[in-house]
Amino acid sequence: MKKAGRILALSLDVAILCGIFAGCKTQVDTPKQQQSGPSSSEKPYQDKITFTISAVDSEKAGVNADGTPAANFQWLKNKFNIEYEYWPLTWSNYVDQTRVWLNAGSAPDIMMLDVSASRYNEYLDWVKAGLFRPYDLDSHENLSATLKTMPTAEKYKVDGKLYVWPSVSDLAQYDFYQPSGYLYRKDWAKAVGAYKEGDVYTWDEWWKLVEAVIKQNPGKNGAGKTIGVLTGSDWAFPKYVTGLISPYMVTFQKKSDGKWVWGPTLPESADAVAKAKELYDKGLIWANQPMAKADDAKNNMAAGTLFASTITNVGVSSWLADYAQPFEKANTGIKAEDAIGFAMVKAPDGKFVSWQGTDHWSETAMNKKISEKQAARWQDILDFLISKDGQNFVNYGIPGTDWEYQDGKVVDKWKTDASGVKVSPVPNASTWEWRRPAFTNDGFQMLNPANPAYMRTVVADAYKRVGDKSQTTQIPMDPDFSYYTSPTYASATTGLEKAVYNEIASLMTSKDIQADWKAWVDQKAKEIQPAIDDLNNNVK
Amino acid sequence: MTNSTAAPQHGKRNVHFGDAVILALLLLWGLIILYPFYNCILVSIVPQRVYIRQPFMLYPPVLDFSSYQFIFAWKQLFYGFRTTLIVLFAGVPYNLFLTITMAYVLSKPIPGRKAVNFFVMFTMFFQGGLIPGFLLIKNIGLMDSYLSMILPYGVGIMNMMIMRSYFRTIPLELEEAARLDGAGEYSILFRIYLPLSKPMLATITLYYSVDRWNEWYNGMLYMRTVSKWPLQLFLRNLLASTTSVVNQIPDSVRPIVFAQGIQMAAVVVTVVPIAILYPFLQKYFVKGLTLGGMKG
Repeated sequence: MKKAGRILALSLDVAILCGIFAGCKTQVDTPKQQQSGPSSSEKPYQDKITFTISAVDSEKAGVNADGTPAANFQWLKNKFNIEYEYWPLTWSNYVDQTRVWLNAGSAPDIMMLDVSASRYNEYLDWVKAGLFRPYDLDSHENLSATLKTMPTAEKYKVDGKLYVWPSVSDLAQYDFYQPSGYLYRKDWAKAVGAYKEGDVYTWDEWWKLVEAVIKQNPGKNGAGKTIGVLTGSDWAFPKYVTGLISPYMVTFQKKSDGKWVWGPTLPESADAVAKAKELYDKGLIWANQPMAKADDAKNNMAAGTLFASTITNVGVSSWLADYAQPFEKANTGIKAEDAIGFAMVKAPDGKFVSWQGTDHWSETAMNKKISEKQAARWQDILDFLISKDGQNFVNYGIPGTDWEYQDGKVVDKWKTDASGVKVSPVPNASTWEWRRPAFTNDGFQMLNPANPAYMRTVVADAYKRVGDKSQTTQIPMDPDFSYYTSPTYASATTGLEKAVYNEIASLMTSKDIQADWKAWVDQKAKEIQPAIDDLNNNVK
Repeated sequence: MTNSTAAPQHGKRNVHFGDAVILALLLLWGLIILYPFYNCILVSIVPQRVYIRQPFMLYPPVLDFSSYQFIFAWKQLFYGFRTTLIVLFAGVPYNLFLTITMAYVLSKPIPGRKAVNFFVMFTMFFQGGLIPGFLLIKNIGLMDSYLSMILPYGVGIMNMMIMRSYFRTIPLELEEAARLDGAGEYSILFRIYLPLSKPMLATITLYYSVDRWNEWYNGMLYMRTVSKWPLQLFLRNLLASTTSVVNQIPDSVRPIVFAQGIQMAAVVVTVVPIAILYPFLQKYFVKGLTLGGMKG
């Protein structure tokens, strides 16, 4: 037994060593960047300032994929004469880490925060404890002008002062409305003769298409093996069905008389649930959808077993990385551009439905203890990054080297790879060194020359549709509601949205869905009546 | 004539039906326990399309080591191994020294033993808290130091109690004889008690080794340099956001790997070293578990 144990241990040693050698392969060289300093500075900075700054993925800060220093990060540091000393955050614990640092009085100079609605009260407590330095917007015109475009900005002001900079989304032109739909096998849609040019479907057209694909099986998966529609996000089911019929399905709605009501009590919600069950019973929605895991949609699309995956906020990066590229790798000889499209489906009333997303993502706070000089420098950096030149720097790279203005328009000077695809010189890192503090460049996905042109066009068209009130039922975000919390409200509504979705999922096997739904809603409504009363008293 | 009183032939015994049923159930139970880990290994060595069509496999129909290529090309993994090995090789002897000496002392009828035992037991149920602990580490200058991961975890109280109970079972005559020969406390401990405590030492060494191997929380709180993060913290970060790790690489050079493959490869890489250690300690492990439970 002892000998067998030692032999096993040695075998595992050899296996690991083989793995190490297998992993030691040279990566494709990324285009090297030219070192470039700032062309000129209207505000020369004499003293070098070092910021301690907390950020996720900080190990990727300032380096290219091959580990060489990133020229654009160096350019920014030279321009403002700064250096960063990172305090690394982890994705799964960054809230806890920041909380410990702040409560221990040992926080970095610049902090990445996540002051979402659920942590809003904690943010207010920190402000009242005097832990943050307010932003001086009057002397920074770009920051000041940008703040005026953000509906939620007022929520972060305390006594008229702003204590965090919300990293604003660059989708203001679309009013932050999010396009939802399906990434679907348009080649299968063509095969069954139900494809619509432009990928826009009415409610009935779409579900007839799904039914036809399952019946005719153009993917040749074997009887019953083709999945019609699937969503990989547990909170997205059954929203992509019920949400189109009852947009306030899982939340509260303020009616025209100013009174708040709970969405499931609305008559259209019962209709929506019944419709979801009808589709489920027909086999158009995956039978295992209530238990689906996050990657099921992407994996099944790559495997050629899925017709359509719901997408709640279409993005080029996720389309490319999660669907197109894995699909092409798994299905050699088939181009994703020819096989996968993005379909937008109208609600039964003939209009799209779109929920307004938040206008920012994450926030940046300055430690109360930093010096005047540090605070001024940091705000100068943000002010530059949010400016037109700054956004171009973040998106395209170093001015003059990676892009330039021609007739007032930005023209990139990027290199192309062997297949003719443009390669961005901007390291794809998610840190606070230059991008996230000022703004999230979600809108750039539709301009990025490195992204496939067809995806950019489709996504841009989708955003335009949902930004057009004549085509879309827009569900606006109410900051007062989103950021409202009280002990009564929190107690009654914690986990409520999930409970609604779970109940709908469980009702897919109900024998009398209308009665079961009504019984559950009536019982639940009594439990959350205190929350509704609280809203009616405090959120006008 | 046969000799009806002859002993059964060597190596043979009667297997009853009940034994066979028990054996079959235990085999089945063993397979149920082992299969998830076996499937974990399989998922890590097959391509995405195979996993999708057949998430539970008996054998890999197609081999694909791209998940391991991704893991081992990820340099943070080696930083993590380095830190965890430092913590392991420094921390376990530190733990053993403190545990053994404390257990030895508390196994003796010294004055105030009950009070000391009470304070020791108290820490099992109540701790100083997260913020005081953080402030302590910060104020004594251990931030971003390997010592911040090694020193705070000194004695595992359960391990100490097991060791103490075991020391009490060692015959006092041995100690008395040693004292008559002029041995002091150190000699008694290191030359008499410890040689007789090999099973127990192996057991608590394994316990401490697993604890040190799995350590991540102190690393998250106290390490400001990413290259000093322990292995489990890197892997936790990886599992929390595989997309983030993959997205560090520009689209043009990003390897196309699937999340489950990377996650399973990460699990295998993490578990294998401890699994390698276990065979060397196995013969002591079972014995140590039972010995420690004896009334002392």
